Amino acid sequence: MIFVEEEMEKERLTALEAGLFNCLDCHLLAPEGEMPADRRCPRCGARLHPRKPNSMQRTWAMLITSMILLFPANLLPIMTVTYLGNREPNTIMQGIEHFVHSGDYFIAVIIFFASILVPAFKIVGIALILISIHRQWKTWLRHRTLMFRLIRFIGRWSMLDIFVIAVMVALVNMGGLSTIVPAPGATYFAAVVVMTMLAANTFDTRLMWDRLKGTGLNRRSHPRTRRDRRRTI
Amino acid sequence: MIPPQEKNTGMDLERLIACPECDLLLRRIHVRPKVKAICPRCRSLLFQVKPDPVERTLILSLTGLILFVPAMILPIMRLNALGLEQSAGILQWVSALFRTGFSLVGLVVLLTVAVIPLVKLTLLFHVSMGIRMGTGWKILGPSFRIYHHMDEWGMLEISTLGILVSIIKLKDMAQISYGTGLLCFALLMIVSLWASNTLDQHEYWALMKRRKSRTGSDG
Repeated sequence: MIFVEEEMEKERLTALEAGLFNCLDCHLLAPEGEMPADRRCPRCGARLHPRKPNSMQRTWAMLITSMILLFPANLLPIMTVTYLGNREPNTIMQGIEHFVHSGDYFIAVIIFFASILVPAFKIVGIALILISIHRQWKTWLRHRTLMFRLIRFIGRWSMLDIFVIAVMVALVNMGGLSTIVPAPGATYFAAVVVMTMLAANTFDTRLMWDRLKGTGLNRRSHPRTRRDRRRTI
Repeated sequence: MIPPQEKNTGMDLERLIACPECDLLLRRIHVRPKVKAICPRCRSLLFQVKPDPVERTLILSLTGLILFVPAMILPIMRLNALGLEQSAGILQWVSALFRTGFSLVGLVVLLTVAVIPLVKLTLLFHVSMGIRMGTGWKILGPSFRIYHHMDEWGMLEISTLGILVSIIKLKDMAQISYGTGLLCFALLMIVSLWASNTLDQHEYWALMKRRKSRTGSDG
C-alpha cells in the first residue's frame, strides 16, 4: 500500500472550494472554469451541479408527501383474506399480530422492522437532518452522515410487505375456499416506500458539510483504509 | 487565500478524488485489491479496487441473463388445499395484482423484480463486453450511467425474503411444493448481487476514459 507523501494543503478544501465539480455519476472532477456550455460532465455526460439542484426543497416535498401517505398506509387494510366466505381485512399491524399469535416471532420482528420501524425511522431521520441544515448545526456531522447512509441502505427493504402481498394474492386464489386480494393500503404503502427512496435520492449530504466552510474544522486530507489505519502518514 | 483558478493549474486532476458525501478534496491513493479507501472526514467509502472486475462481471452478468428467463416463467411454488391447486411464478404475481385492480402496485412489482433486474444485467453485460472488446465509450458511458441510477431499484433480494415470509405465512393453511422457478430465482438473485459486487465503478469509468482519449488521438 502506498500512501501520499504529505498532506495536500494546510487548509483543507472541498472540491467546490477548489473550483471543481464532482460528477456524482462517474466521480470525475471537472474544473468550473473549463466547463462546456451545456454543463455536462466531459466523461459521462451527466449534468453537473455544484450541489444537487433544489435539494432541500425537493427532499422536503417528498418527505412531507410520504408523511401524509404513511397514515392511510398504516390505517387502511393492505389485504383482504376471504376464508370459507368470511371476509377479513388486514392492516399491517394486524398482520404482525397474526404472526405473534401463531408463534412466528422471528417473522413478526422482520415485518415489524421492514414495514413499521424503517419507514418511520427514515422519515424522522431525514426530517432531523434537514432541520439540522436549516439550523446550521456544525456538530455530529459524521454521525448524521452515517445515519443517512443507513437510511439509504435499509430503505429499500420496506418493500418486503408489497412482495408478500404479491405472492399471497397470486397463490391464494381458490374460488369459494379461500382468496386473498389486495386492499387500498397496499397502494399507499408502496407509494410511501417509493417516495422515501426518492427523498433520500434528492438529498445531498454535502450540504451538511458545507456548514463547516471557513471554520477550519476540516480534518486530515488523505484517504484512510480500514485495514491499514496505522500506516497512514 | 489563493484564488481557485490558480490552485487548479497546479493540480493533476487525475490524481485527485472528491468524497461524494462530504466533498472533501483528497489525493487518490493506491490500495491493494479488496481494501476499502475511506474518507477521513465523513468515513464514507470512496472506492474499493476489485480483482479482475471486467472478466468476473462479464461472466456473472451472462449467467444472470441465462437464468433470467426460467426464473421469470417457471412457477416458484405450488399451493395445495383440499384438492385445489394453484401455482405462481413472478409473472403471475404481477398479473394477479393487475387482475384485482391494483395496477400501480403491480407496476412497482413488475419494475423492481423483472424489468430493472433484466435491464441492469443487460447493461452490465453490454458495458463489460464493450470494455473488453474496446468499443466506443460514446455508447458505453450513457449505458453505465443508466445502470448507476437503476442500481437501488432492483429488488431481487427483497422479493426473495418476501417469498420466504409468505411460505411461513401459508404453511399452516395449505401444502406448499416448490418449483424449479424458486431455484432459478434464488440463483438469479445471488448472481445479480455477486455481479454488482465484483463491479468496480471507478475502474470502469477509468477504462472508458482511456478508450475515449485513444479514439480521440486516432481521429
